[in-house]
Amino acid sequence: MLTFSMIIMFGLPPLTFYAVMGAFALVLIVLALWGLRFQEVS
Amino acid sequence: MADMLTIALLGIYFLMLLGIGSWASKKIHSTSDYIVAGRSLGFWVFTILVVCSICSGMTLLGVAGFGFSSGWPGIWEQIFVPLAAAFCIIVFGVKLHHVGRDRGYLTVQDYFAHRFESPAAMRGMSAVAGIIVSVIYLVGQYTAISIVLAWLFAIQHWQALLIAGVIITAYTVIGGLYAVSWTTLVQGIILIIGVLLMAPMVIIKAGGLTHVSQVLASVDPNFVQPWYPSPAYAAYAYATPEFLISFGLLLTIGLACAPHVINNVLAAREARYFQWAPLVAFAIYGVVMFLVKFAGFSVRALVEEGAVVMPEVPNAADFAFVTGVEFAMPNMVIWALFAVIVLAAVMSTTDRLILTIGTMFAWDVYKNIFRPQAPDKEVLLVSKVAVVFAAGGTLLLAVNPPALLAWLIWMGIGVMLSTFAVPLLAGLYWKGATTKGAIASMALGLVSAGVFGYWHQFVAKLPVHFSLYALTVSAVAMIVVSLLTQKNDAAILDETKTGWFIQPR
Repeated sequence: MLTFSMIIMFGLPPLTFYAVMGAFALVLIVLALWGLRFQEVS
Repeated sequence: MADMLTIALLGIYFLMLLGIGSWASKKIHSTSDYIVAGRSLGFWVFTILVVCSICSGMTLLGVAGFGFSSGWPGIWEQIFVPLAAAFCIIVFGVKLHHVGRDRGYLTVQDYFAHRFESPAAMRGMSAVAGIIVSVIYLVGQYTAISIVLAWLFAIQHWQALLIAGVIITAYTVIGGLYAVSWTTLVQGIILIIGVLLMAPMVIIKAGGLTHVSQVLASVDPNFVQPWYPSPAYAAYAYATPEFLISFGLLLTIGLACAPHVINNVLAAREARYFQWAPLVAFAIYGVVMFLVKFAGFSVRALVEEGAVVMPEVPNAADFAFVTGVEFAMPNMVIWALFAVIVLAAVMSTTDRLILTIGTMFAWDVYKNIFRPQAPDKEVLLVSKVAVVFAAGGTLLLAVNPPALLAWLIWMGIGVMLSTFAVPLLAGLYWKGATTKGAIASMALGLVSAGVFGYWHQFVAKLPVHFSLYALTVSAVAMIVVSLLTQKNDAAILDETKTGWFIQPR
């Protein structure tokens, strides 16, 4: 928590949010590259 | 505030929307053209339609307002809401689009009726719940429009409503989803460019994000934390970890299954769009909403430093973005543009809501329940008449908005989550979900959303968002009743591509 406040104070972006945002974006990129191939098996 | 330039720019904007509506009306030959734009939407029209159906004027004003009053802990909203677009396209969209094309679905209710072999009960209940939720939402949208127009032109609330209502209704009635989707593309581009231009100006004028955060921290150190400590110690400090979890579920899944959002997946032209559309929608929406939120922070910092004064109205926080732009850019040209941007955001959701209400009534209630033998031309006509009634009726409600409008809007999203999420998810992914399970889940979800929503507002505050309790009731009802009742026909499960996979073969 302290680190988080310090990061903001010293002018870096609030990493918690960007990290979560980036993690979701990464999941979506992986899903897209994978072609959403979570496929039905016959 | 109004000047000739603003009026001229708004006039051009309105004429452009009507022009698109007129062009779109020539493409409407059947109910399918009207409701799902003949399943013809290209990648960008489809993706921007999903984003802008979710992103409304309330979003634009409310996001900055929430940032203004609650600081950084509220920014999770800007992750959850864009995620709703991605969730909708991946988890619901891929399969619904595939089956919808094969089976000719026009609304999600077609899916419910087919998957759960329930042409009357499931279709009727989900259509009525969808119409109620959309009407509540629409009244909120109209109120947001009138806030902007009344303030810009110093006109009466009802006059502002009438101007916006007539324009939106005109192009939606004549052009159906063709008009709604293409006007939304224009509105979306205006909104994105506008926010990219204006929000950074507000942040810079407030001294940059670092300075803004320092000022916020001096007001309340928790303003720059990821969440507020539990239990909430002030009215603005409700974003506690447990609340944020329920808030995340509510926004991500609740908005994804909102009728005016999910029905868009039936209108995409090609299945391959579903591969990259989730990421593109998430990224565009995320960037725009982060910037609007930062603008809200900046205005709070400016107010704390005495640089600007908020208007003395009960919902002052909702004016944060407007106040920030007024301070940062007193230029007339930008002002005119700002009016168009907020209107674009509001109108892109409003038109989709009006169309959704009208088509759910005409297709699901009129055609599929009361008059199955009605010819296509008659259904098309009923759709148009229902759109006019939906617009007119909600306009009347918005002239005298209910005192608890904000509560009603949150109720609306909560009802969407509690009513639609479980039957949709279980229907698409669990072969064991049965007709009776779905009916029990939807009915109990709806009733318990009302009960818990009422309890939270009028009896005692609940630690997490009320919809989480209702969602749990709905899920338990689905599992228990499904396990006790007879499974649906294997052929139907096969036709509706039911099972634990996203991509049908």
